Amino acid sequence: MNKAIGILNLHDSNNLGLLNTTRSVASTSFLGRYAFMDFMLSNFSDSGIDEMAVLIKEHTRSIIQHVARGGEWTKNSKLGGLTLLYDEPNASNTGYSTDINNFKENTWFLKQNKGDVVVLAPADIIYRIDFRPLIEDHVKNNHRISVIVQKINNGREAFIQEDIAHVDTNGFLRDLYPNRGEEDKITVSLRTYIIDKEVLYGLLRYATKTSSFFSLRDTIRKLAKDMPIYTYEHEGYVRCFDSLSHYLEYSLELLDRNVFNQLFDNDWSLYTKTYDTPPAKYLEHAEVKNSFIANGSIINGKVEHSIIGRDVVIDEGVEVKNSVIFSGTHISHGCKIDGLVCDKDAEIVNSAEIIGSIKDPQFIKRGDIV
Amino acid sequence: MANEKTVAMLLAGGKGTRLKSLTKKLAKPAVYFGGKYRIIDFPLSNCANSGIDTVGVLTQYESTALNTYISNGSNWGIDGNKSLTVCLAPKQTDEGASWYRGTADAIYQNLDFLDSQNPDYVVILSGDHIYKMDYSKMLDFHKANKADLTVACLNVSLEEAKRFGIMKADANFKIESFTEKPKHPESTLASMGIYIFSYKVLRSELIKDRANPESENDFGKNIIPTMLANKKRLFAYPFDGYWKDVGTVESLWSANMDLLDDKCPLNIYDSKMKIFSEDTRSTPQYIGPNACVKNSIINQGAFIEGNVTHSVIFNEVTIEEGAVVEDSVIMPHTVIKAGVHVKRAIIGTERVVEEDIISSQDEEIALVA
Repeated sequence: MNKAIGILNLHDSNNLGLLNTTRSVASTSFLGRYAFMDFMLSNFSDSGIDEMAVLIKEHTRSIIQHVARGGEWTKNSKLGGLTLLYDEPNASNTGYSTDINNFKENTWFLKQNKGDVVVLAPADIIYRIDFRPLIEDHVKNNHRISVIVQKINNGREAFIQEDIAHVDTNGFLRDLYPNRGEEDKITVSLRTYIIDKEVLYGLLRYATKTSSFFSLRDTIRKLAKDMPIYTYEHEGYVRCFDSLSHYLEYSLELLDRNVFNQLFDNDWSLYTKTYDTPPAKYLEHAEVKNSFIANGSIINGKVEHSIIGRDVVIDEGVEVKNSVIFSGTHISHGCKIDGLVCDKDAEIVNSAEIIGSIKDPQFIKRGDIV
Repeated sequence: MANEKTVAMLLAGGKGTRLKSLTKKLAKPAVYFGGKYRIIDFPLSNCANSGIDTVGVLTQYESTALNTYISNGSNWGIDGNKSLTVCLAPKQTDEGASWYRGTADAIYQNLDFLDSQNPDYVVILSGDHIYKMDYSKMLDFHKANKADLTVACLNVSLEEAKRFGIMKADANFKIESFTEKPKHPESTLASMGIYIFSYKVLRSELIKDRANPESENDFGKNIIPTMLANKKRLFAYPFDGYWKDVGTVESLWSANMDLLDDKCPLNIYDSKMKIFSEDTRSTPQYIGPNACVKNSIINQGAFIEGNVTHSVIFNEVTIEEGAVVEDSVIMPHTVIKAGVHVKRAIIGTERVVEEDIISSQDEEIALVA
């Protein structure tokens, strides 16, 4: 197999509103057990890619904390590994804080690694893929740059501001431009690129000559009309996590077994960090329906159509519906909750009711008492 | 003395015959417990939480599975630059090859390992018990008494006393007598099989014991009585927490049920003294729209659509809609089919249960494994 380098690109990422004031989407908790970045890193890992890097834009602490050992994602802990690439000089300079500049700051990483092909992928678009057949085809047909695209049926509502891809009958990209939500049936770019390493160097040079503010996405957009860029069409589960309400909606949607089975599969080893929490405990008055419950939680109230994170305590008389509760939160005093995203370590002790909706969720900040 | 070195030696070679088919292919210390653990997670986590950085795990029966599970000790964090976990199965040496013949012989056969570590103290543990204990407190007690050997002990009933090593101690906890499994116990102070030796003493006692052809090479039967006879300083360290020997199907079941009792002193939810275990790559635990779960503990990866009451459910267990599970322990990767009723039972790993498994109050716990 061709040796590939997997790069998780955290630049040009969407954000989940208030959840991302102190962390990026990549390290945000998902389904009470994972961080978003686990999905793409596991895709790399399960595709036999063992040289990986994370291009970090901001919120380095939460990324480092999640991947500190790095060994979880590679087969051999001495060969290969996970490297964090950070553009220190430009980090606080909004215009300059691009993936292109981050690469330029860290070219040693590309030079040092043996892989000839680079796979660049985002953390905020979640899907499952085996990159191996694509890389093989990409190399065999000498494509140099390939983009993964997908047809969707809800373009008015999803993948807003992501790129619409115009693909010709031979599978080559003809144009790439932002989705303004005008049509439902569109083909979108999954911001995932397979690029020959030498071509990537060329893109860096080209971008620099064009604008110091240019991102990889800008560069590929600009080149789409002039350069043969091949597309691979992905099918199956894909979601772009781009707002707090989509976070809540897409999380709860996975409680539907049919949707869950589109994403999860017994053959897919999805790696994540372990916290050594004991199994969840259900007490006398627990009434839990249609929910994910993470380990360490102690439940004595009603929970319906919700996702409960690690070490959450839900006391008797409490009712939680259509909500995502992050780890370490304590809910007591018979509070009724609907349509809430509650960040870590909150205490809901003085409220009788917190009512939002999936379209317009309520939010409680990390560590707050309400 | 600065930087005194303590090594733990964990006896994990036993089969655990009374656990019946649960140990057909698995050593007793590797048997599943408490929704996500194996029995040996408890002493190994105790070592981690007690600041012990070197652990030898003595394996013998079905050692491959246990050695694989222990691996380099990373599950318990005892795998860093300053710590070491190593499995010590019987080996061939210049003097020949033999199985571990008794608890003392198992340690004797690994004196080379202990010499290489050059410890001041050796903590000898068993891989068969469920309890949380800070061994560093016991070590402080051992040092304060300038003891040669300290034996952890707890009070049992007179009837239970017949199954244990029973000791008599004076007001200062100095042991006066020790009898292994006495027919007529003269005390109820029972040995928990947890020993702290000063290494020099341990080393010389093991060598003497080995030279005695009459000896069964057992700590309780030989080493302790001999040391007492030779006027060594032996102390009893009183322990009053939860401790359970899960040597039978019945006791394994009841120790699991203890976890569901809020009054039970064994608290696995205390984050200051976590029990560490292997991380299964499970999906989140799912409770379905028609499920009902009460008074139970359930691990990640479980998929519950039926009724679960007063039970312990492991990872990747499926309980289909309409199934009823009560007062039971369901081990990993097992499926309880729709409409099936399981009550007062232990169901082992990777089973598909298609018919009712029920034992009544006056019957033995049902076992499917």
